[in-house]
Amino acid sequence: MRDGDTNGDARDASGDMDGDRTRVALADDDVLLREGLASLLANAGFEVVGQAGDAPGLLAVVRDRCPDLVVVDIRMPPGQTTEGLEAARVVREESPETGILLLSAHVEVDQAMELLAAGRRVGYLLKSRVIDVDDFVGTLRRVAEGGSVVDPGLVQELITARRRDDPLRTLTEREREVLALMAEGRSNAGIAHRLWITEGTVEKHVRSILARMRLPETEDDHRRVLAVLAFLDSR
Amino acid sequence: MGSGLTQRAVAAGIVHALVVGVTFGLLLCSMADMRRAQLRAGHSTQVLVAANRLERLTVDMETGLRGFALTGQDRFLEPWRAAVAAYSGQIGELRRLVADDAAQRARAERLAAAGSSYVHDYSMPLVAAAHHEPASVTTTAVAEGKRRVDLMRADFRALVSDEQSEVRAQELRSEAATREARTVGAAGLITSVALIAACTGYLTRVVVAPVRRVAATAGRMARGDLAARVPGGGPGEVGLLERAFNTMADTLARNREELAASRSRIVTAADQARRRIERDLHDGIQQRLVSLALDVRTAQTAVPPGRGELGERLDRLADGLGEAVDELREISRGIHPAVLSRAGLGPALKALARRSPLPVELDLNVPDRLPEPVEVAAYYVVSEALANTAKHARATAATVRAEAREGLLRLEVRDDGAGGAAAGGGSGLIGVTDRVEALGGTLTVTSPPAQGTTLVADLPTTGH
Repeated sequence: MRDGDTNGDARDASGDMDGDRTRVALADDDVLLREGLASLLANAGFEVVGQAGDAPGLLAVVRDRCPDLVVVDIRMPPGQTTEGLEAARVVREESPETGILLLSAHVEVDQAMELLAAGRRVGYLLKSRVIDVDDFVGTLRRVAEGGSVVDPGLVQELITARRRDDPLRTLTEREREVLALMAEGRSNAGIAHRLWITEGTVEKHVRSILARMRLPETEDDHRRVLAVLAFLDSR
Repeated sequence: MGSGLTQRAVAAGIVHALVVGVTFGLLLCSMADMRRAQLRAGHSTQVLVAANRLERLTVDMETGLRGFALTGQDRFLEPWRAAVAAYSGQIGELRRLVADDAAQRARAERLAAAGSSYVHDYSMPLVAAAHHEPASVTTTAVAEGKRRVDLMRADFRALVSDEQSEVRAQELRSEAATREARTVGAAGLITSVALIAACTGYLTRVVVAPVRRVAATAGRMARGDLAARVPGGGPGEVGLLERAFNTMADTLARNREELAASRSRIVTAADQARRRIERDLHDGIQQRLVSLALDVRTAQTAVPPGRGELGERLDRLADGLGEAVDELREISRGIHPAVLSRAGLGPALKALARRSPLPVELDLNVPDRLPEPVEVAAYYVVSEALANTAKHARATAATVRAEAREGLLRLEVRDDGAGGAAAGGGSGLIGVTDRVEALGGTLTVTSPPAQGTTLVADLPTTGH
């Protein structure tokens, strides 16, 4: 398993790693939601090492507890705009190894690109994704283990955008699915698992897609996400 | 306020009436003079006629009497008798005619006396004597008659000569009156024409020209140039008109400014309200729904084994809440696009283009940020235009161009559809037009049939 694409059995997996649980810090100004998320993550085998209601609080927790991962709401007091993003930038500077998952009430392409450009180990999701607990826990693990995650809704918006002379029109339905999963930050193994096909088949699809879309082949999933997203946005 | 034009017009009228009145008065005087001279001339003619007749009667008396005296025949006395009978009546007529002229009257009296003396003192005794003794009539007696008559005829000549010189004097007077009338008439006519010309020139300068200026300025205002003004300072009522016109223009311009400002305030207030609602939906209800869903998920973990059907119901509940959150997100995006206030026009237009059911080509040349009202208006212009294209145009593609320069943001949305669209009608462009105009911008739609539709909006980017 190259990047720990954990899929549907995160709870069991974390149970196995009882002694070395992923340490998570949460930042959201809504206490109810934060507490709900905390208890959910605790149930899923994460160790919630701290919670904060705003950016300075989060930075204090990060400096104090050195979590593996922070889950941050973009909108926080005092301005209710992009305080979470600013905080994430500081976290990335001060503690580059800490994974960052940003939650947002709505997702924007340029914000995703900006965030991904800051480096690997980041995720950008609609806040409502937390409701689908299994997926959400899987996403957290992917980020904690070095992957980059982009909200599937955002990827869908990019892929379904109609273009004149659209290069995507030359792709098969299956190839388009593979491309979307690449854009979401899935590894080949993760894609294979999602589509119920072998990793070898995925690799074949990936090579074909990259060649036809004139995208560079790379072993680095993070770079691949960036390249695919940029391609989808600008095609 | 100066003297009113009414006073000036009345004064001009009075002067004109005076000129005409004086002219006519003088003309009437001249005519009266002429009439008087004519009457005098007529009178003189009567005097001359009467004098002539009297002289002839005198001559008749003398020749008749002389004939009788020389021949002794009675028939020669017939003219004498007739003349004697007519003489006293005729001399009465002459005395009446010259009654008002002392010199002529004296002559007439003298003639009357001489005539009477000739008849009674000379001729009647002579005739009586001749009847009695024809030989008694001597040449001396005849010569005496001739001498008397010659004296009388000298008086007649003097009278006639006087009367003739009077006639000449009257003719001269009449001619002078005619000349005077002609001069007065010509002077009156010239003065009158000059006055009318001066009045017309004055009225043209102070009334017609300013009124024409006001009309031209009103035309400019009607075409939308509310800064147009007329030069004030005209006399009287024209000045009042000019000042009232300028005041009206000021009021109109101020009202339009106030209207534009209030329109802009209304639009801004509505936008702020929409932003607030969007924020409340995201931070309030959506947050609450998500945390409720999380509660459900937590409850799900507490479902005792063997109660699988309860777990499934909780699962469906959490999924339903998730779908509600998704719907809410779509709604709040329609209320206010958060990306616009966060990232500006470029990313917001890109998002619009991505979500359009038609391929949309973007050509953006705008700074990262523009004043917020401009960004919002521009966003809704493009959003509405693309929605219309997708709904009505039967187009295969659209192009959105945005360029900001020299204080102006120009938006152009073009499609290759059926054309024939109108800016008004049922299209949502009316609200967008209001928005654009509230910012002092303009919006035009060109849509010839079968040649696609092009919408162009110009938004001022300064002064917000």
